[in-house]
Amino acid sequence: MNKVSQTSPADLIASPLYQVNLVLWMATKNNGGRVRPVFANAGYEVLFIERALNLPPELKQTLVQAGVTFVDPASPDFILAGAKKSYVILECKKTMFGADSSTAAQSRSLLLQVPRIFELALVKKAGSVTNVSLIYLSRQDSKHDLLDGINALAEHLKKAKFKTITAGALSLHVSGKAIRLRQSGNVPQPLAHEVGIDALEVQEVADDSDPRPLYLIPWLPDTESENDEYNKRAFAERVKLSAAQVIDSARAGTDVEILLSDVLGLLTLGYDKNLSNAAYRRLKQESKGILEKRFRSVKDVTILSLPDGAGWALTLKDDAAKESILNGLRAYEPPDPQVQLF
Amino acid sequence: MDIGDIRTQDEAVQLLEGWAEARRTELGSAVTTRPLVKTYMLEHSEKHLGPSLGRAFAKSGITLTPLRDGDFETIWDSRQQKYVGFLERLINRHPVIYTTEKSDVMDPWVKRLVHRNPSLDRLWISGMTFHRLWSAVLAQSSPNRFGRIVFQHDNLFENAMDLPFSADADESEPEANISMEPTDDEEVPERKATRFAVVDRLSTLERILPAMRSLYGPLRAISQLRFPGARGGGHDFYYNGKVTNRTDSFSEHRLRVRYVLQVYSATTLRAEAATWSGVEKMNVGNTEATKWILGAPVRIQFSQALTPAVFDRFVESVFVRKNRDFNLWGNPIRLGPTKVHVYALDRHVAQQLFIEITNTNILVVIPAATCGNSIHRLVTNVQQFLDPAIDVWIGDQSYESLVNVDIGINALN
Repeated sequence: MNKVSQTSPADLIASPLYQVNLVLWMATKNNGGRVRPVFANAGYEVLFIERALNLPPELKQTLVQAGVTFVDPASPDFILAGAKKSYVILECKKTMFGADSSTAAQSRSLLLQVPRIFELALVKKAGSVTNVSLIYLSRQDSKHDLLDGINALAEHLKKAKFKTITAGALSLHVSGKAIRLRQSGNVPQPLAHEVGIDALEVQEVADDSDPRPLYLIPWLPDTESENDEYNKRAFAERVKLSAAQVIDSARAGTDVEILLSDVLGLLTLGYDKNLSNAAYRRLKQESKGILEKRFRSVKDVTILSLPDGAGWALTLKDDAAKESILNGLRAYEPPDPQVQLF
Repeated sequence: MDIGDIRTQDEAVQLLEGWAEARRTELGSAVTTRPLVKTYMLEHSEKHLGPSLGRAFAKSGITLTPLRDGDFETIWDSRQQKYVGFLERLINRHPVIYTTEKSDVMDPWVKRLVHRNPSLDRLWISGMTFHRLWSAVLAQSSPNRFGRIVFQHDNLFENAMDLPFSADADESEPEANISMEPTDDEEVPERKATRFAVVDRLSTLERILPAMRSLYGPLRAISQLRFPGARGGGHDFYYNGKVTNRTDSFSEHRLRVRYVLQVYSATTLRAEAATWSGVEKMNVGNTEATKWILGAPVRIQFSQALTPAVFDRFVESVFVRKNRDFNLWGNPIRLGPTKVHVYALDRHVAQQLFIEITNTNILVVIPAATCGNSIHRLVTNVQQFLDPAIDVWIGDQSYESLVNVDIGINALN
């Protein structure tokens, strides 16, 4: 059991994958005490992950006429639902961005999600949403205000007569033996109250171990790349686990097909269906690479590749064959350097 | 009469009653000459993979054949070419096997049956559930009757040896008041191992047990409990779902098994409700079909921090050497001297579990599925083999409060 090379807490908090998983733990009440359930305590629950928010055609047309760039649809990392028909759109960022950055177009689309636009995007009846806020979660930057870029985008949109929602930031920093959360800008009230005016401790940091919690989501598309060994390792373990579940569920004495589409469904807990073709292809390629290597190590069971790279087929002669494959799957080897999923 | 000659449930009951009755003269004697009637309580999960009970057994080469006029089925083992007993779907989700085979035949038989069968598991009666059952013993028996409790805790991880271990006492074991005195030539393991059987009047046990528990942690882990029989003897329940009938009545035995199953089943349902009460319902992406649900985490808090050496041996034994009682598959990711993450497969039910283990506790996330028996199994085995005095929480509810179920006469309806 090799220890993954440790990422310093200061680097860890900039990892979007860490942030995404931290949000999930923060939104889970009674979560076992590893992470302070800040969102759950403030009454928020995760409603959607990676939900596409389409803009109405008439708004898009007006934006085009005004020369404003945007993306359609924008898929924020999270949509949280709170009390009194209020919602939070939450994005995790490695670093915040300036008004001229490549992510500005997506931010504009999110800033435009006033209640009526948001209702239409979620197919909700008029009046079912009273408030929508945009929150960015990122690592604290002592040199720049995290919201400079987003505020400039909002001002520009307002000048062009577009209605926008309020934006705020939750910034992570390491202080003492804790990872802490600080708020700035417009954070909606129940959450602002929960976070408070001082930096709120969300996770303890022990001297000798990596503080990250279990990763419920091992990978998300469009997150910025990062060289983090745990991310690669956890991803590989989840890929192998998903394949192992397919194999262990099969009866001895039967033919088994391990379809990559099934593996990806288990791996992503279902969000594979919403990935872009390019993202799905990358995910499939990486997963295939991990499993192919492991299956190659199984010597006493013939494992055949299915046409078109759809997966593998094998005959599970008896329980011993099942054990042999699961033993082969269990080992971990680092991914090829040319694979750039993370 | 052989099982193969039996055609009706009445005949099956006669056989089992007759078998129990024939042992009446031996009750109370130290050594029995013929095997006891035994019951193996199981859990069958159709939700997970869907095979019917018959198909789940057929997977292991076993044929169930219904008897006339009742719910009993004969159990034919085609590999051994013999009948091994009867099966009854006694309560929902919990079939039981009645047998007169000896334990040294049936214990491994049942172990094989459930071992690679994701839709079948045995019952896992934790020390905490046994304490709930102990209160039922006190409430349902005269204080002058004799009770028998076995406390067993064997810290498999305190030294480097992973000794073979069987929790099922042999049937011919003398019912000594206090057991586990080593014989002259017996090697005493260099690790904490408690097996403490006490037989006394219920009134005495009721008085002394709370004080004993507070003094010595392993006495929180009851692993075997006797419900006294109406006319002598008793029904001995083991932590792994086996029950031996040391009374002269099969019908009384069946009622007692049914009662314990009701307690267990109610506890399982409450544990599952607690897991899903904190449920996070998340829609992943745009469509209903991609809903992702995450149950409330289960937290097992150790009574004292594990040393790094014990921590290492525990992780290695469970995941590298694949301890069969835990039956988990996964490759731990080490994040510190006493912290690992394991994205694991619960091989009893072919279900994913995400597990964080530190020197102070275990946190388990169950992504989605029927999970009650997985929780019972984990708690039972941690109590038996790692720390008998654990505290367990499912979300914000203590496991101890969940097992404190009341089975009223409504259960007879």
